[in-house]
Amino acid sequence: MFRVNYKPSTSHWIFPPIILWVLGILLVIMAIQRLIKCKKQGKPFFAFKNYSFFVANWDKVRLIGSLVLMVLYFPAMNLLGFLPASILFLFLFNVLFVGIEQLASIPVAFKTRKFWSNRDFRSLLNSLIISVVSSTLIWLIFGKLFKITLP
Amino acid sequence: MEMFTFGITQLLMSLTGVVVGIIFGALPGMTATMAIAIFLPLTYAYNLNTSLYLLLGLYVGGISGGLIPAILINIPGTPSSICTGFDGFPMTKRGEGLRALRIGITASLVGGMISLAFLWFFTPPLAKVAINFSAIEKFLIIVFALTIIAALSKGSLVKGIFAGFFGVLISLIGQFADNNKMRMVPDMFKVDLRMGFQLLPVLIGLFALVQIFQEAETGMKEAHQTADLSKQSKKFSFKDFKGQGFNLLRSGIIGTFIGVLPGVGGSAASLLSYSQAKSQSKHPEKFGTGCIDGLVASEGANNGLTGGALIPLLSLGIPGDSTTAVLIGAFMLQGIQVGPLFITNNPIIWKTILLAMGLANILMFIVMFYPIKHIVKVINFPKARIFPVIILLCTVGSYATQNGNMFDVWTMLFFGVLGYIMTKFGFSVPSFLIGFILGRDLEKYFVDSIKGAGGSLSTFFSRPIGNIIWVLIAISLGWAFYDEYRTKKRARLAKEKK
Amino acid sequence: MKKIVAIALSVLLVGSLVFAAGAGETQEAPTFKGKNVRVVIGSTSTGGDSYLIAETVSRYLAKELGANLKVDAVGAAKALDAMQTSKADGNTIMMFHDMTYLGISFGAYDEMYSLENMTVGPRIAQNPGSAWGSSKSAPYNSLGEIPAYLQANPNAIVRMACEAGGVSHVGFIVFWQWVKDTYGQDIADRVVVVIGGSTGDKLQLLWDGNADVIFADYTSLLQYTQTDDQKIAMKFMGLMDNIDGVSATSYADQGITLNKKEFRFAKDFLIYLPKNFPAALVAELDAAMERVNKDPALIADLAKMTYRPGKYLNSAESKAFIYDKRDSLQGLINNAPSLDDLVL
Repeated sequence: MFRVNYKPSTSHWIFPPIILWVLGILLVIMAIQRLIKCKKQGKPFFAFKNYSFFVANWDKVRLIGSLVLMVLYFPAMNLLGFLPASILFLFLFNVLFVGIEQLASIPVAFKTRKFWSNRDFRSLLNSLIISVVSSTLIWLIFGKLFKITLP
Repeated sequence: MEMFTFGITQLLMSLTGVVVGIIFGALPGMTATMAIAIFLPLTYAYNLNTSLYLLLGLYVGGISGGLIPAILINIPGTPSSICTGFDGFPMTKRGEGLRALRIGITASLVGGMISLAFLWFFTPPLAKVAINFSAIEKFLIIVFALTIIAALSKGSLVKGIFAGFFGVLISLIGQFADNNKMRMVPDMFKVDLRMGFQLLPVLIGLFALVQIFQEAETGMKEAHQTADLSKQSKKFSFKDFKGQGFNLLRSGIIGTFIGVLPGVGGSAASLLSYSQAKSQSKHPEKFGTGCIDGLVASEGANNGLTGGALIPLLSLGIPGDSTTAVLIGAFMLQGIQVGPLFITNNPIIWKTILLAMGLANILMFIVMFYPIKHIVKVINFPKARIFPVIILLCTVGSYATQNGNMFDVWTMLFFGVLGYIMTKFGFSVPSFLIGFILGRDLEKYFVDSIKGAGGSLSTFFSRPIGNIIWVLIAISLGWAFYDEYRTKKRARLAKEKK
Repeated sequence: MKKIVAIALSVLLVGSLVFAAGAGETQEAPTFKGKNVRVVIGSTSTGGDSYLIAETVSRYLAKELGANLKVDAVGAAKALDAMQTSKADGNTIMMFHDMTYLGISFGAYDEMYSLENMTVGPRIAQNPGSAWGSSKSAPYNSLGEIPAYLQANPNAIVRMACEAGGVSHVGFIVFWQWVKDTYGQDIADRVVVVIGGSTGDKLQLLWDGNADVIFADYTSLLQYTQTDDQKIAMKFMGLMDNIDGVSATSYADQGITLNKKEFRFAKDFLIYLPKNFPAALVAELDAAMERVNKDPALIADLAKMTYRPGKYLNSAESKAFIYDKRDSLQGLINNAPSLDDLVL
């Protein structure tokens, strides 16, 4: 009946093809499902025209920014060391997520000599404090106390 | 021989273990296994009995801590708390974060105690049951655990199953243990992918980064808790457990039993428990929307695992999960053999283990239940402030998975992006992850089964316990298909009415 | 207001100072003193001999070297990789047994990982406890009796569970070759192999009735041979080398020979270092290991776990020794049939 040819030297290729077959069958089922649905609703099978990958009004700065920052952060740790890189990038992440328009407050704050009362600048300072404190804490607790290898 | 001792030192050791364990469990990327491995060499400085309080505290704390981030920010702290977030996080969104946490913590305590009772009274008989489960039954149990995917992907069953099997496929990348040969590895990643993708970076990427990308896309405006707290939200009361008695017991037993089976990973416990709670529930449609039953099932089971996993370790010398595997070292370093005679030969250590497990569970409850109301305030912070710290923690955790490997950090990012794209096309990320977690075991027991039968597939129907599991799988799947059909029909009727 | 800025900046300053203090490493003559040394081992288990020997020896070695040694159970592939990718500065060393070269000998790992691309350090200990065990009710009492059993029962087969490409693989082909040379191909054809993983997996194969004889470490099977529980009770079928004070018989005792010569195999645990390791560091390691080797406390610790202490060889001796051991097995490995032809 149903047999699988078992040989130790090729046994690593027994299971993956089975899964690939299952995935293939599922793909076909999904295609058929979509075909039926499209026929019923009178839509074309491929509807690229009105398709948009992102949600309406998607936040280009935050999404692309966060991806770019991550890609830069990881090598930066090798370059600068864990703590400096983390403090820097945590600060940048904070600024990015809270809103980069705050950066405009820096010249204003220095010009007006109002630092803490300037809301945007205060938020920047918060970002700085958060990044310094949390990076240092993690570095101390995990890197030093538990001796986990840090980047 | 060592004497049975219990005093302030032991209490403090246990407390330290529990607290550190909870921290490791709660931080995405850190796990109980990691915590125990870190403390293992230290135990040599103390005698075995004293270190057991520390190690078992770490174990129980580490498994329990995972519920905190799962419930509060929908990022499971450990692989075994994946299901906790399914219902815990919706509760947080409703403003019932504290209630959810306390329910989870209480369920954890009960689950832990149920498994302790099994450990205490039924260790030898359960070990005998365990050895009757051959590779075939283990394969089927993993298939059974996989059926949770069907239960999870309501409305898009085929897509859910596809995501699950895709996860299985991805998990197979790398070296196969039997013959040390690699498959599906591009030449340029030969070194990094020899062992395949590591679970923790994948988990973190799929849950934490996907969430961060999605929030970034929509502007990251709100705090995790959107409900207005000034309005009355439901408070925790032990009355919440009314009607949960059977669920608790079942979850604790499922957890214990999965723990008892050597080689069936711990995450299977809460997966199986959750899907059973759902399919036996009178209101399965509420699962996933912040339903106490689901929370209880998941947390009861993963703490039930703790006692269960010790059973084969202490009665056969075979660890029940990856964390207890690390514990073997603690015994062996002190020259104590684990095997079928362990309990007979070491009655004092045996009693110490029971006491330490009980104590750890109670301490876990005390340490978490009351102070949790301060931790819960985390969710009032804006996401824009929390996410950067999470990125930092995740990076550290991924990097530490294999003691300092930058590739794992890129793995995290890769799966973050992959998960984000999958979500866009309606493929379930949890299903993918579940497939990924169970994939390797699925292959191992499949190959082990046919290896024993000289390649014949009919071997999967050759064992009585196996056939019972087949029936359970069929019921579970049949039910899921029926549920899918019913939901779609209802939706169609509702549309027509409009 | 300025205060806040000042505080924030000073926190930053203090933070980076602390960091600088931690990261600053002095560049003097190479020494292990004060270093954080990562000791990779070729096993992921913390209950196996690799971890136990590495952890125990490291603890004593750390004191002697004045360094901080941390054992890291990364597994064979990662450990071998570490030897190729780590700098030869003493921050990463490997402690591992014969699998270091066997993986390459059997062709499971690339030539780039061969002994020639590493520095061989001192030998630290031996584990003689590689053992075959079977169910207590098995119709034979030793490996040596198996051929006679097969002769008497023409339809019987004996399935032996071992891992591919490891010490157990060597143990299996030595036995198989001996059966073939002494009793002929027909008998040898009925000794088949079952590929198993961890000790737990192999025990499960035995319980499931999918294997008759399994390979494991002596200590991990010991309690199974002492229990009365018939379902799980076992007996030792043969050790690859004798263990002091243990009555179970070895290949040598049973007359199982390799090319008509006595065969003994104990796992040798050596320190391995990346290629071109500074001679000063090697000498420092040798000296420290030599002193540690005599420490009665270490001897007691290793003996407690049935490992063989006092087996120190300096780096030069241990290099000659391990190259020799590898070459003596290569012929056997090359002549042995593929496992594909030995499975059921």
